[in-house]
Amino acid sequence: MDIKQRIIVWLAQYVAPCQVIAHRLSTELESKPGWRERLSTRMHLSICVWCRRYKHQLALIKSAAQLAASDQASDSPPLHRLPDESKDRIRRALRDAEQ
Amino acid sequence: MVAARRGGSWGRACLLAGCAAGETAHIAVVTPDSPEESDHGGQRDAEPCLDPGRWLEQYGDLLYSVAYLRLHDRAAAEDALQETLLAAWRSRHRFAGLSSEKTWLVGILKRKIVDQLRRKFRECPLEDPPDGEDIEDAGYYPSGRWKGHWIPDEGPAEWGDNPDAILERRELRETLEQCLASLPARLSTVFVLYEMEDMPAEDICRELGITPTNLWVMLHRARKKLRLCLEQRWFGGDAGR
Repeated sequence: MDIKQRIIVWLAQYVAPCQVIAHRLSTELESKPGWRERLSTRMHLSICVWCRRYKHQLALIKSAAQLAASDQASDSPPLHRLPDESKDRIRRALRDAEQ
Repeated sequence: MVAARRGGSWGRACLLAGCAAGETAHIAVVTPDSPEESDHGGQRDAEPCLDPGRWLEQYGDLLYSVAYLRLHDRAAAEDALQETLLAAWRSRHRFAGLSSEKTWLVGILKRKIVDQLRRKFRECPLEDPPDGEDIEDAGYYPSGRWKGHWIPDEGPAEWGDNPDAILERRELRETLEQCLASLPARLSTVFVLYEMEDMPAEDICRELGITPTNLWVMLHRARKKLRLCLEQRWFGGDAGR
């Protein structure tokens, strides 16, 4: 273990645990935390590669969900095909309802 | 100008106007006062030929995909689609044509989806009470000096340094859909409403009868489960660790 790693390990004892940070990173997507929490999170992120990854991955999941949700606005082909038998059933139901 | 266009069988509006499916007829339309299923239109001169049979052919796969992504259940998605086309047909006189037919139908479908999600959420309050409690401690040291910190071999893996390239992959959406389907129903419901439907938190709490604190905790658990699922299915578990 080199000196940098030793310092990180030593510091890690004094920062909030990753589990707390993970919850905080999720909450931060909805509301801005106070300055103490922001400072504590930033300190943690500066020494924890896993929580940095976690933060980026949460952002990516959010973007992916929003992109998937807006897919119907694009011209890309639908991901699923309504089965023919279901289409026939719905067509019959629509006719029945109309009569 | 065609005056008597209300009621009648499918495509009557088209027949009266003498146009082919998908074309636009010149009809004077005044939209009603309470446009629940309307596209917020006012008075206008033209409307497309409204025909549920054509909607089913033209937009069936798209509407089904939109519903399936959010409901993760074939029967529920088909029900939502059917209810949408019925509701659209019943309120066809409210379609002012200011938005596209597709946008109008998707708008109605989304309300049907919210109805289904609300029902699903309320029907299964006891089905998955932990709401992801099992995952709350996953990947962290359970005790000792490093309690609550990531276990290095189980912490988040490297997903690559180009998120835009990842987001462009169609397979990501497929995997996300599979992972959403694997979530407990209550967690997937809050995630879909908040992240995909962009519904305000207070509206979600009111619709589902939960407190804001419950909502944030459930969203956190949903994200955590989704992250883990994506890592295992998309990024191959140990990749980049």
